[in-house]
This record gives sequence, structure tokens and C-alpha cells, in this order.
Amino acid sequence: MATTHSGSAKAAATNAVTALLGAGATLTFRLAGTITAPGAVAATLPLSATPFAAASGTTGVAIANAITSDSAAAGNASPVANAALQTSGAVLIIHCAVAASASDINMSGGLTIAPGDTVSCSSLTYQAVPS
Amino acid sequence: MTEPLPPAAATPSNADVGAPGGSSLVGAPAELRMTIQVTRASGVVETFELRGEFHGNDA
Repeated sequence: MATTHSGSAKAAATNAVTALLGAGATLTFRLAGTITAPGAVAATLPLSATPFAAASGTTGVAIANAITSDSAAAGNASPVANAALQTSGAVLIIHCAVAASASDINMSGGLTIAPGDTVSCSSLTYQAVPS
Repeated sequence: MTEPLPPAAATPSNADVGAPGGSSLVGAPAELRMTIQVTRASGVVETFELRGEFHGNDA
């Protein structure tokens, strides 16, 4: 039996998570690792002081406020394996696998960031409880 | 600058429980979506649309 949440519950769940990010949070792209033992950083994109706007009371989707580009990424010869949203103190709050296939986020060809590349994020949304 | 993305695809059914991207026992997995652009040294810009369903404690 499926579990269904009200719009207000979905929004509350999303807002509770995004509030943990706080001012100075960043979006990072990393090599292989876990949320407790994250991999090396390939790119770091600072989020706004308030990282996300309040989640929709209908869908529970929160849209990120403006994200600053990393104009000189650290890069790595290995492809990105994870995307993470983390606090200013480098505490990971959200950790998501990225790979060419069979992962949470799948990309044909994978994503390899070279040193000095500019990495920008034009859209970022998060939803803690989709249904 | 951020822009809303189109609605997400249908939520996986309970038949997907335990499968990658499937539902968890406490409901559907969380979802993170983003569009990123990587500008190479050559000036070439590559765009990646990332959309993933995952569990908040994803290791």
C-alpha cells in the first residue's frame, strides 16, 4: 500500500532538510564516497545565504535560490560520482550518487570536470517526500 | 538564476521497493534535480540535466 502525504506535510519535510544547510552552504561534485566519508571535491558552487526558497505547499518541491559558479574547478581525471549539498562547515546534508548508468542520477558518458573548468548550476530543486 | 523544471515522472510503484530508484518502505524516495553547465578550457559549454531519486541516507 502506497504512503501518501499531504501537501503541507511534503513541504514541511523538504523545508526541514533545506533548513539544515544554513548560510554558507555549497553544492559540491565529488568523486566516489559516502555521506559520512565523502570523496574528493571536483567542484564547489556556493549557494545563497538562504539556499532554498520555501517549498511549495502543494508539491513539496523547493527551488534553490541563486547559485554562484565555480569559475576554477579543482577538477579530477576521474568522473564525478556524487553530488552533495553541505553546510558551511562541510557537513553533508544531502548526498546523491551520479554515474553513467544504474545510479541515482544517470548520465550518458558520465561527467568529468577538468581542473580550471567553470561549473555552473542554472536550476536546482529538492523534494524530500514526493508522494 | 534558477528556473522551475517540468513535473517529475510518475512515482515508482511499490513493486520497485528495494530497487535502485524505487520506493522506500516509508514512502517514495527523495528527489534532486539540477541543470549544470561545464565550460571547458576550449570554451565549449556542455550542459547536463541531472535528475535523481535517492534516499536521504544514501551511502
